[in-house]
Amino acid sequence: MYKNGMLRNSPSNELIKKESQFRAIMKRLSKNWFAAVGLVIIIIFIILAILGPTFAPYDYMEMDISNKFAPSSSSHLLGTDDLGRDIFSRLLYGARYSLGLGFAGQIFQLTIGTFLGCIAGYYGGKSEELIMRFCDIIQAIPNILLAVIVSAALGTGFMNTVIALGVGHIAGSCRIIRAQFLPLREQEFVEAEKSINCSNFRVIFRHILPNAISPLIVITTMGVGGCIMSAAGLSYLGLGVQPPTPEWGAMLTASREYMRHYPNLILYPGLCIAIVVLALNLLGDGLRDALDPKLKN
Amino acid sequence: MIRFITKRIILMIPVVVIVSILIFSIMYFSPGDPVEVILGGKATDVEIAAKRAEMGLDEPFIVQLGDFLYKFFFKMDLGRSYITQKSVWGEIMVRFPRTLMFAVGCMVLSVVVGVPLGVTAAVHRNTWIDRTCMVFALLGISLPEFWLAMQLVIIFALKLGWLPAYGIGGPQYYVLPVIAGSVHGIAKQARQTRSSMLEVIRSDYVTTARAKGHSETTILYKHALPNALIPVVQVLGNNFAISLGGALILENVFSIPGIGTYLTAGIAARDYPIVRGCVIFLALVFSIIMLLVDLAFAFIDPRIKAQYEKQGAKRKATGREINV
Repeated sequence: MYKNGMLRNSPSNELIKKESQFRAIMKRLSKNWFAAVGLVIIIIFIILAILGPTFAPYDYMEMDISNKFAPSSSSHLLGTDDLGRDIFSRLLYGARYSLGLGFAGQIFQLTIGTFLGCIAGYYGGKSEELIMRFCDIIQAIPNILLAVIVSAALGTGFMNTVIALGVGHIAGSCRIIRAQFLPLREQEFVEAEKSINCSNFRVIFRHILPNAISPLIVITTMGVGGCIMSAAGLSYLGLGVQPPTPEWGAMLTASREYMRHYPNLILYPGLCIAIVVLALNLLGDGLRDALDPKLKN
Repeated sequence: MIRFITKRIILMIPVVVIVSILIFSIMYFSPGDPVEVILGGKATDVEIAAKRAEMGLDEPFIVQLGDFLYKFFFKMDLGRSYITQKSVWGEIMVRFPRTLMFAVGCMVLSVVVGVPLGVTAAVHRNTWIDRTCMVFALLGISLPEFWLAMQLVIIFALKLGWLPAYGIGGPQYYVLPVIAGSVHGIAKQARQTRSSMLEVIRSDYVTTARAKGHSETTILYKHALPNALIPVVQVLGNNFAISLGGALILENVFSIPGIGTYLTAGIAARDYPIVRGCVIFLALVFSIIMLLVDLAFAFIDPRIKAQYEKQGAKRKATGREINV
């Protein structure tokens, strides 16, 4: 009973402490004007991605050949493309694909990278050696090159592109988690967990990981932007998500033939990518300062 | 020191071998049959089987892999293109100088612009100069490279007609690709230089140098910058590697016949020898650059050199490898 009491107490203490830390970070973050702007922009884009189709005046596939390359007007806010499709509607639908690819790519790499990093950092020995050599190999191939080759091997499509985008980032997060684990696993609270017969799984994911995750937050925030840009690059090479899907990179690629006479066709999707990535970078910078105020000076 | 260099080179070999195996396997097990691509849709099964036997594609996986590794590591032979029958290694050697020129151009420009930008921002910390520099740097890392490249083409090649839009020739053909390719590099370099300069700029020896009456430029570039150089060199190496990868897309935008266009054409045609040849070659170049960056650290910073030497001695004593 005594043991159970201890167990019941410890998470609630932890919860209170965690919340106050979270609040402190949010407070520092909200004082940073740039980061706040970044966060607001991202939230707006996420809302647009989710609700986009209800706002969109046209369907993203709806063609009107008689009205192609129309300039901006009240019926077509940003004009139409080479097949008479409404660019504004396509951008709204595209937010789903571009943001989706960015976030899903990072979630994919984070899941695998964190898991491998935990194993390597906690157990050490042979498994660590093996995982670290695996990271060496992944990092011996430049990221975009790895994305291209995996995408070429797996074929096009959303899930395959997510894997292709994420694979290169695995090694980075794995290394960071491992480096965080090395000092943590020697600490007293881990010894205490072990002494009350906690399973390894619980020690790793419930007790050490929350202490190790903060450096990953910044990298992942910026990584989402990187994934969005890589996804656009893959589309440009004819890999990744294919037209007529209105992913922003695919829209850019589809209209590059007309860039001489209709430069606005490639201007808008590119601006969308740039704004989202800029917002993510602003937020990432702000998070870095908020998580570690020492760094700022 | 020599022991350290040798050790690093020896450690590089298994990585390159495993990368080769990995790439070969990925291409081997990916869908799409090169024989059908070569012969077209109308070939009969007999013809396909005959062609496959002729190309050695009917051998088991392990035999093909062994054959490939043997030829690559002992004969510098990456096979022949399925379609043009040209040697892949020969073609890479013709194309690589163009890619290298692009990547070196990007690296030089990112240092020449990025480092002074970062130093200026650090010196004028928290003033409007600092903020302007950093906002530009942040914009720089947020723009998609190939989109920027297209905008540059529209403005400088199509509208103003100052520079050629695509192809290769004189140095003027490299101007737009290098500018487009180095914007990310400049931004990263500026941010890194700023933050590592901020660390050293308030050190005592900088105050001493100022007290001795040195000019501000001497203090910054002779006393402070060398001490802030390690992260800067790290970024430089990364930038070089990234521009090699970035060449993949930008070479396509500007139709530069380098390795990037070769690789993408190979992927489109399912010409496996080209694809794996290019990827393995680029991975090799990338590993060599990372090695050079590590060695550069030792030359810049005596402390790291001492550490390397100590590490070698320690390992000799314990016989165990220390992970860094």
